[in-house]
Amino acid sequence: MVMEKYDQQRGEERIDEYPRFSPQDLRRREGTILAARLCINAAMTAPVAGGVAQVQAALVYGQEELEGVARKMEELAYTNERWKRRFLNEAVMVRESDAVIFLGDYRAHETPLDAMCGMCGAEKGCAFFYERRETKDGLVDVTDKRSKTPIKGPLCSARVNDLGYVMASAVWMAQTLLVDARPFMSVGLAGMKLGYCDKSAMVVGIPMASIAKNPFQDIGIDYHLINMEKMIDNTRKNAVVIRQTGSGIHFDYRTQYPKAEKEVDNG
Amino acid sequence: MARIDGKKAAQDSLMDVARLAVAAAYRAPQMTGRMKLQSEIVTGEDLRPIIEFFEAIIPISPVMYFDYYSYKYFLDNNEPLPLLLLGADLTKSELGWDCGACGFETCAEFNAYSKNNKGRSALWAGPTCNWKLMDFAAACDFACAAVAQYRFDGRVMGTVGGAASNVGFLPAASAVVGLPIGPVGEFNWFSRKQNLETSTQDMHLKWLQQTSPTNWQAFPGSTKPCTKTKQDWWNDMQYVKFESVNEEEVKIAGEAMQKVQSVSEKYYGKVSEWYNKDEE
Repeated sequence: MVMEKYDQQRGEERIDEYPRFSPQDLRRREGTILAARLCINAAMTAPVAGGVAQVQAALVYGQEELEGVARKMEELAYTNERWKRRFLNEAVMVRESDAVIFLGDYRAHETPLDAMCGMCGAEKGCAFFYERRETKDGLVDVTDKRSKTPIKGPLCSARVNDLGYVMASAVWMAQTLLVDARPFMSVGLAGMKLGYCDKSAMVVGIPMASIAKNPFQDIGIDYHLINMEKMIDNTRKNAVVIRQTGSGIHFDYRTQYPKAEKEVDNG
Repeated sequence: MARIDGKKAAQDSLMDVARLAVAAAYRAPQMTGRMKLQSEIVTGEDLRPIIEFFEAIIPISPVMYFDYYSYKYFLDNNEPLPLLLLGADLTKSELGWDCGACGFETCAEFNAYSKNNKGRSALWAGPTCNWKLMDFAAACDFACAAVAQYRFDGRVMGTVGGAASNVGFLPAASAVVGLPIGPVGEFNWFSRKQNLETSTQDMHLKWLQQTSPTNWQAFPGSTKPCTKTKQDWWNDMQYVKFESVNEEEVKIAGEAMQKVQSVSEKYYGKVSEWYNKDEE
């Protein structure tokens, strides 16, 4: 009787990357989501200073969820001319991805390494950090979230350094699994503003995808306007219009078919 | 027909892995596309200045005390150890993102502050652009991952990077880390069996007590809790005291820093000269 469960372990799965979000595409995406979980594990075990746990992760997938991240990136794009193009391009990449990993460091702003490493501002006793944050006897008070800048600094650079290791370990795992992945500041910032990795002051986003063409490379000009989704959408528009302006409106398909010029000449 | 000693073959391959690790570092993903990686592989007697720096700083740095004995042991015991140094200048931002992570409202303010207030602390220099720093860390991580992938021993260290930087290696970098590759064997860097003879049980106890005394040794219950520092801790009770650094300690630290400074001066010009030649 117990063995019956193994009889359930059979089936057939059709897998394809197109049409997007069709059942066969969603089955394909499951593999990427599984890979993303392994990438998060790799991130969690990355070498960090002192081996201190400091990372929180979020895994986001699904059409509406990815669209939400992309839209937040587009919103943020218009807050800084210097990063506008980059953010708009990368929003398209998020729409083309299967899943997004967010990795945040929850110690960088609150519990620094205290090693006097010198990277934040090279002052004795990590004073550069402590003098510029709200503190009480060396304890950092992070309850006031108001900030003139997208990220409220300064941060402990040693912790940020660790977040770099964490991020790269996730990407290394993705590359080992031959899943395309690329880390982005824009994705991370959007994720942070959306509330992913809510304890962290610095978040990085890594979209991942397992489709024929790596969505994160070979990005053309005006990519937010000229990309596959836009082209398909324009095709949908034009395919309808040409039936009325190009061919279709001038005959009854059931009983008629326009003659070739040769046929017209021959009567 | 040829016969090759296995251990020797393994040792010979350390340099191959070092080369592959640095190649992986250059292949690491960047978010800024602005971080310029600097790198070098140091081995053999060229490690001596770094070891001498460790020796000088021991009185004020227990961590470098461990490193001193490890690096010295491998060099003295003729186990060639390639040390991969990775560095970058992270004290300037070309990004214009004005993200605020560094503590300044704009990249321009950060750059202006950096220009006039650049300084060096125990290991590295600052201030630092945090996004370029993450890209630098990603490069270091890829080197580590490459070494791990080949099942070679290694441990990425800020200490050895700081020491190397102070004696003239990668002089244009504000942050340097070191990744020793090998030697052949299990856990040379995470369980340093070669260091056993360098410290007694009493020294270990002292370091633990001095590092985090109240977490595991406190006997709470009064406003003057005694600390369980020995087997019969209730006899001749001992307490944690809060006091400023005394003259004697200042003197010891000052002498150590002087020695560190002299080691730095002794080697810096000679070691960093190599890069000038490279540029010609």
